[in-house]
Amino acid sequence: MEELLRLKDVTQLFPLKKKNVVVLDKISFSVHEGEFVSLVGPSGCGKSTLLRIIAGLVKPSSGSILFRNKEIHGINLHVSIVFQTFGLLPWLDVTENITLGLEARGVSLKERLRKAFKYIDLVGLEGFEEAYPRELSGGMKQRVGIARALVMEPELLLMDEPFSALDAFTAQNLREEILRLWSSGKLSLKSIIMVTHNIEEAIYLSDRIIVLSTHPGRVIGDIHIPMARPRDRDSVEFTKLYDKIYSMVVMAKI
Amino acid sequence: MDDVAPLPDVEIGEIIGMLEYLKEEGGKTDIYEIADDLNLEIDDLVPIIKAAELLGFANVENGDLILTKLGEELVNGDENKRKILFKESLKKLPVFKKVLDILLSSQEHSIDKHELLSMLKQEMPEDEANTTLRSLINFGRYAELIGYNPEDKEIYLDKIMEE
Repeated sequence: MEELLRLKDVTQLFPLKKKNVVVLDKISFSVHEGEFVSLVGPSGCGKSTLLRIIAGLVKPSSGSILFRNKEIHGINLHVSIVFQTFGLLPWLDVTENITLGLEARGVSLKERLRKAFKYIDLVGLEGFEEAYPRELSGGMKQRVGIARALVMEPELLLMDEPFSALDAFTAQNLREEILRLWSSGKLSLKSIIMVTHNIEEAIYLSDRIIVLSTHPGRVIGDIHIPMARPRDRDSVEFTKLYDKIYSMVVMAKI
Repeated sequence: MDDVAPLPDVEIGEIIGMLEYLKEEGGKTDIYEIADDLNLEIDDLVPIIKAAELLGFANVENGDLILTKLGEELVNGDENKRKILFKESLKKLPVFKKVLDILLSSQEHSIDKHELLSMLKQEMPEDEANTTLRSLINFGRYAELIGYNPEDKEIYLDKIMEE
């Protein structure tokens, strides 16, 4: 499969008390088409910052981001983000929240609505088109968050702890939903990168897990998950992978 | 009027998530083990179980939660299939039957939210009426059985007529 994204020596410094703190230290890895990659690491390892750098929302102190072999400066229009806290505008209804980004790109009303209804249908929000965020449960809000990202028809979807603000069952339900969408072939998506602190979730969903250390954030592991889906959390293979990654994350804190 | 029982205060995603979990556990598991496994309080689990039972997707037997045939069909179905099964189950609930009757017999096939709330209050305690209304709108929207327009606060009939 073709390479979609490449990070080359991405380094991020934050000035703190006249001294520069290294948050991300020479992060390099590639993501290929068809890959679901998770970034796992202890809190404070800069994984959310890394996601924002990939989206072009934050400029790294040094290093480069290549998308389809072209260096990216500024916001990458082939990328969309799903946020942990949904990021919906309370004064807009579901349809308006989903189409906001298209409006900003100058897409006509007719086309905006056509696309909105396509993704409303795909993520199971039919019936909620006119609801306002305050009327929605966390799970439904995140469905809006996902539809809003997908409607931009990105090639790369970034998800920042997308399920960690949800209760256990709702999170489970949405994980299944993401896998179902991902394997449906109905999306423009080529790859997904998800940030999570939940190792079980990462193994359940991803093809590859990149483990980051903290202070500074460095790539300390790049693990291929060869298991077929749906994955059995109680299987020996799953448990072995869990133990392996768990001990890497624990070591990464020390 | 039928005995209009209140609806539990749960979300669709919680019900489906629990059924998905149940399927992964082989379709049957001890209720206390679910709580333990997922770090849930039994108090939080009970309304979700009640909702699944009410809709015919799961049964409780001797402390075990068991996935029904219908529940299995739902978990294995795509989003459209799920909505249809939800819709069929909802239509059998007395409280939904009542609301659908009201909507069908009203001129615009709609009713003011507050009007419906006061009707529900005649059948059940006030806080249960409030959560029942919330779940009615939530479940109804998901199943595309009823709609709710928050602008004019009208609950209306969605697609029941198509069959």
